[in-house]
Amino acid sequence: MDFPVFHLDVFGNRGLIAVIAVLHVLINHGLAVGMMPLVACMEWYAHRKQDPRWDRLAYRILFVSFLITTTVGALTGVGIWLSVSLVNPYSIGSLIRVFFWAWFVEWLVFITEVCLILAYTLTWKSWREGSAKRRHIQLGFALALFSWITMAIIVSILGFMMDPGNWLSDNTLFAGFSNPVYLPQLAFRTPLAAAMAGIIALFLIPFFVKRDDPFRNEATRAVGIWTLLFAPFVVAGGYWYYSVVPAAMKDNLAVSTLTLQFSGWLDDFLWLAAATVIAILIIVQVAISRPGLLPRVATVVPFVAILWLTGHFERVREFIRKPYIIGQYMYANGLRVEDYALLQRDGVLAYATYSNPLTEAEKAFVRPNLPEPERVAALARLQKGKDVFMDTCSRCHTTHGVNGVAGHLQRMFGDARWTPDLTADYVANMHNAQPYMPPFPGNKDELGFLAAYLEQLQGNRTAVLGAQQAGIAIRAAGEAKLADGATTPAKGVRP
Amino acid sequence: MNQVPIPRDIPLPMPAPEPLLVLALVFFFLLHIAFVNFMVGGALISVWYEIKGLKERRYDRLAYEVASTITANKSIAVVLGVGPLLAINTLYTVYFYTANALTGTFWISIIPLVIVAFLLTYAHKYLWHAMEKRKWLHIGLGAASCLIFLFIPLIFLTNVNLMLFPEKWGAVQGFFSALLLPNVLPRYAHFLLACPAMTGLLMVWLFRRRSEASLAETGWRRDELVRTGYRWALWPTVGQFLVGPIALLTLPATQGTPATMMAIFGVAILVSIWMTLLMFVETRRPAARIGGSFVSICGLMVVVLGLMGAGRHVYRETAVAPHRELVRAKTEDYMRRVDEANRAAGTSRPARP
Amino acid sequence: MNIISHWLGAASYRVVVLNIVMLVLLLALVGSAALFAVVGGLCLLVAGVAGLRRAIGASVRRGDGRRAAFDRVLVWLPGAAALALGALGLHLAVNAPAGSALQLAGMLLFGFELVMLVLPTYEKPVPVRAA
Repeated sequence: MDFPVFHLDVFGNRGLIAVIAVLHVLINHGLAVGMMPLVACMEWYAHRKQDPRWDRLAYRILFVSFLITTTVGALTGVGIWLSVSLVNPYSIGSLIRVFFWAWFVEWLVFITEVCLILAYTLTWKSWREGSAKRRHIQLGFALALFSWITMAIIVSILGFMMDPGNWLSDNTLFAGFSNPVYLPQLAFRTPLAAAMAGIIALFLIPFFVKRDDPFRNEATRAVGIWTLLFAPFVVAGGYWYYSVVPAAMKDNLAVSTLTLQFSGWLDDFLWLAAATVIAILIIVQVAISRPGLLPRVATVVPFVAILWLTGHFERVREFIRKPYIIGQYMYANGLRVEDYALLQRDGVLAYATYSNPLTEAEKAFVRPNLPEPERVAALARLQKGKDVFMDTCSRCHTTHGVNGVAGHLQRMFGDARWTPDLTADYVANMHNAQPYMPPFPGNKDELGFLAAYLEQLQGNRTAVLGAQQAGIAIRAAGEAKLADGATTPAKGVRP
Repeated sequence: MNQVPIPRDIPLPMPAPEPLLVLALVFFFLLHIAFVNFMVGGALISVWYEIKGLKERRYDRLAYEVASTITANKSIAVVLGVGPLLAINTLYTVYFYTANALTGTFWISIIPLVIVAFLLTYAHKYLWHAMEKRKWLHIGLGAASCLIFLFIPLIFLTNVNLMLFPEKWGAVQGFFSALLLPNVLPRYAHFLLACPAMTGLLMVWLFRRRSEASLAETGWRRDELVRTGYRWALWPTVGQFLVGPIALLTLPATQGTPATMMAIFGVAILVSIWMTLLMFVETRRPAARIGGSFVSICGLMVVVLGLMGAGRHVYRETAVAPHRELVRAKTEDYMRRVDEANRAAGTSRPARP
Repeated sequence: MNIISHWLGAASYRVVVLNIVMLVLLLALVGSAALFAVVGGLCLLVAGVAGLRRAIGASVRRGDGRRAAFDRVLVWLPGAAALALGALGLHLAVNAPAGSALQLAGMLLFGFELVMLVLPTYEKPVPVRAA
């Protein structure tokens, strides 16, 4: 990856994307894609039965959705883009080159969706009678449709990242679009969104309808039915989705759900997930049969549960793609599969433009009483080791923070000194031991440099600063070197 | 340390012909910035009038009218920004992402900052009447959102400036050192003046089409409101004749001749003079005829914006063109080596797209 | 005694729920998977058939188009869901290792769904006030 290395050494780079993205999914599934049809149906029903109570409830739920989707929802969407550009620019840059038009069309649909939700919300109070009301209801259903279309487009891109299908051999946009994971994922997410919206609506109803109002039970029951209706489709879609996840990635399922330490608890975890789903269904059933019995606090349970499940599902989906960030094409470290022959021969640093300056804490590892030439050489080795670490490991690992390499080394080697003898061999072979790890992309020398850097980590617990704080230095390799070994001609002159 | 880094680019072809991508970038960015102007200007003007409204009731009403426009404008501004972001990611991949990484902390902080600003504007609008008794707190909400709206453009300007100067990439350390590079601050001043100016035109448009009934509620006459809008459009634009040339003359020097760029900006200045004169004339018109030149003024503003966008693009291209060539050469060289290494290793690789 | 019988009599479903609870408890204590399977299956069958008859009757009665779609779903869906989940609970209660948490969960689920099947879930449509 030939960019200055943005790095969060405590929270971890993946965590940045995860928080923003999961928040975005929860909002766009639960409050947009799933909620707009529910609100539109409520308004339609209110108009059909001439029952203003449904209309009032629909407006209030819409308003809450409007407030959240146009602030947190919209900005986290942009935030995914900004964070991915910071953490793995090579992957997003590559995806844009393939999927530019898909994202462009998606954007046009977004514009429509924004205009529709603005119109729908801001004209509710004024378009209330006769043909104006009918137009308003149509607006609601149009909004629901466009929300779904935006999801339909972005899901194709996500599916592509997991299994490019024909794209590797047939390099058209359509081939990428029609990858094998697409329809199953869509079949899963659509009813999931509807169910999420139902649960969120169940949670909101007590805020908008008083306890002693008999309408509260009626609304609770109806929304419970809505949720229950979509539940079997969530299960069916989920099963279909699971069945097409490429076989190799399925083997990662154990580690992805509960981090390396707890991979043995997978079975129990799956039962826990099932139990959560059943608990949600039970509460929904109570909502339907005895809505009066349902205390407000009970709706918090499915609310939190479905947020937890969805967030975890997203984490699983992202993780089981490893070691690739784009299946079969690019590893999670931002290097392409086809780059490896060159890099494992010449080393990554031969082609790396940037260098990450050593901190004082890191430099302190080299004993100050060494003779000057040895000191310089040791510092140079350490510098290269740090650059190798930042270029090939830092996208997923921190030093001592979340998923920290120090933590892994501690687990494997305990308090023994983490000498190159111990670590270099492991790093060279870890992709055989753990299939979600990409192979080490550097050459043998660089294994040594990296090992020197890792050894230094054992005593130095200070966080490493990324380029966004520490800046970068330019390596000699950064200046253009042409194939014949000549260096760049003077600036501005065509080579 | 004035080394110029020459990184390699992503070895995939452009997804569309470059002129098309450039058109998407410049055109949609101008739309985006217009709505950002409406949003920021609306926030500033609304708070200004709300403070005046403490003495004279009808200013409070006017403040509310202006604040109400922010709800729609902010969402449209955000969504229109996505297209140019996509285009700039595609056209200037190496440059844009590098600048992002070097200012990463503040770049990503755009997200929480804008969320908070938006929530504050919602609170400001929807709690307007509920907070009648706590006016100062209410004004505080508006002022807080204004402060955020005033800071965020600096983050964007810092990035799009830094991206053009690879020789600076090794020298900056964090956001503030990049912020102080030329010529971020003059451009910021240029942007800042544009906000009330564009919002003034928005106000003219808004109050020209309001029904008599809803105008009566505000306590203002139509011609008073239109004249106020024109005044907001006029005086900051007059200020631009000072700030604009400063921004132009402080642009860092590039290789290659700036003749085209100067010509474009020259024409833009001439058109702006004409437009400003029309604005001035409008502010002096009597009630019966005020607003007559509105369409012409808007037409001229569109031309000015278009010329600004084009001129800026010419500057951008002039700044990066030489470096781009070097990047391209480096990338081709790299790909040649990759092929050679794969052949030597006998690795069968998937057909390259 | 009086207090208890008053309480039970107050709502018709309370007796039924009590009976179901006692039945499940008894089956659990007996500990025979085969017995649970037979009795449990029979309960689901009876409740299912009764529910089916009630649902068909209700469907016929209100085939008048107004609120038809929503009411039809209200009539059929909760019963179908309770039957499916009840069957799942029964399957767990019978096939999970004896004394395990899974078996207990299955029994509880079965009992709950049986109650859901037995309680009437639909009511007369609430009279709609004019707009």
